Amino acid sequence: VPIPPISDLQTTDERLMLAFADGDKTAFEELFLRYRQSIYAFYRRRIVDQARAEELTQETFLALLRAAGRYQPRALFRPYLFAIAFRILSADRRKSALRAFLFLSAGNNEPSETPAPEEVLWLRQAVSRLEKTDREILLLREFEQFSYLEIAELLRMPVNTVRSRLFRARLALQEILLSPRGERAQTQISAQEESV
Amino acid sequence: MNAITGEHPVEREEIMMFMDGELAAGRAVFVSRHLESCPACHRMLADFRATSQSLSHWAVHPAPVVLPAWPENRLSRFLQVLRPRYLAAMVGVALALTFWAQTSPSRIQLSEREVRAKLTKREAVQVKYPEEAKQKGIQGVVHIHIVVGRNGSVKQLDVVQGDPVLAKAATEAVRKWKFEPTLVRGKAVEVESVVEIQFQLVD
Repeated sequence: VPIPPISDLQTTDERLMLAFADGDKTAFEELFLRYRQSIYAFYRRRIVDQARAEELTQETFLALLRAAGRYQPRALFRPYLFAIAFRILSADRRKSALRAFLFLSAGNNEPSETPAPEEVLWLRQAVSRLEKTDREILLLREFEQFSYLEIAELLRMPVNTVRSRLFRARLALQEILLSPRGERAQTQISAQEESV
Repeated sequence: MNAITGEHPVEREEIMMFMDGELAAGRAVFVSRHLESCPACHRMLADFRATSQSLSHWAVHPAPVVLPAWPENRLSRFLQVLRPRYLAAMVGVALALTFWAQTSPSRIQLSEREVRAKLTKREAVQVKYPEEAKQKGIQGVVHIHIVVGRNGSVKQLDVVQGDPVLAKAATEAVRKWKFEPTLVRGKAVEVESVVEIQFQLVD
């Protein structure tokens, strides 16, 4: 089977990853262009600090650079890349938790900066009220569009658990969004959308 | 358990799975038909979709992230891997190893007298005076640097000085010497020393 050139839009991520593992620079650039936004958004929705989201995005692609040699062709690229991102996110959370613990920064490990203007603040707040694993499952489903099975593998839990927690998370979020405060925020959302 | 009412043919989670495309084809058709006839389930699906719809407003601005530098050669690729924290870890390991090596030496130096004292008599091989040297009247001293392994046998040996003919005879004998193990805090260590072999013709 002849391998199509990198410029070919049909080139799969997996093929690009293999070409990149072989030292093909353009393959890496192509993967970066394909995934930069989704990886950045992944961090941005989970971390308040924009600069840190940028750093972790960089770190994810650096990790990809380093890990290229160990990539197994039978693994799908997208879950593979997000697994790296997820590991980096977990490590970063542990680090912040440790820092918060060591410096006793009033238990607040998220910097209290004003969010970027595009931020739909209410949604972030609503989602942040969910239990943390439920929240993670919901985000992976709604934004990263992973299947239940993929989420189960990423979070190392049974698919049944993913399903029941996702169900619970959605009901809870629905309730939060429909609460009086939520309705007020809903109007805020449309106002913000018009201004952006 | 999740059924809305006792006789309900569809579980609540299945409605969510239907929306997520997680049901097997046959079951999806069944749930789809049920949704047409059941206002409660239809309402639930609509609510799930509305929640998803609300979330979709959560957009993220374009990533201001630039392509990480592609390492041009093996060395820079290697250096890129060596981030400060790894570097710090490696320095730490190196220091620990040095410290460990100093606190528990793997080889010590002994004087000739000390090392000869450890020579097990039974296996100490006598040095033969070479015939050639006897005939030519060669005599003198040979210095040999030896390293005794942990098991007590000579594992390395170098002539420091001496007549080549005498040195050959000396090394042949010393090579076969055996020593009692030397212990430092209960652990056998290698020993190095310089031994002196005298060759003197008796008139």
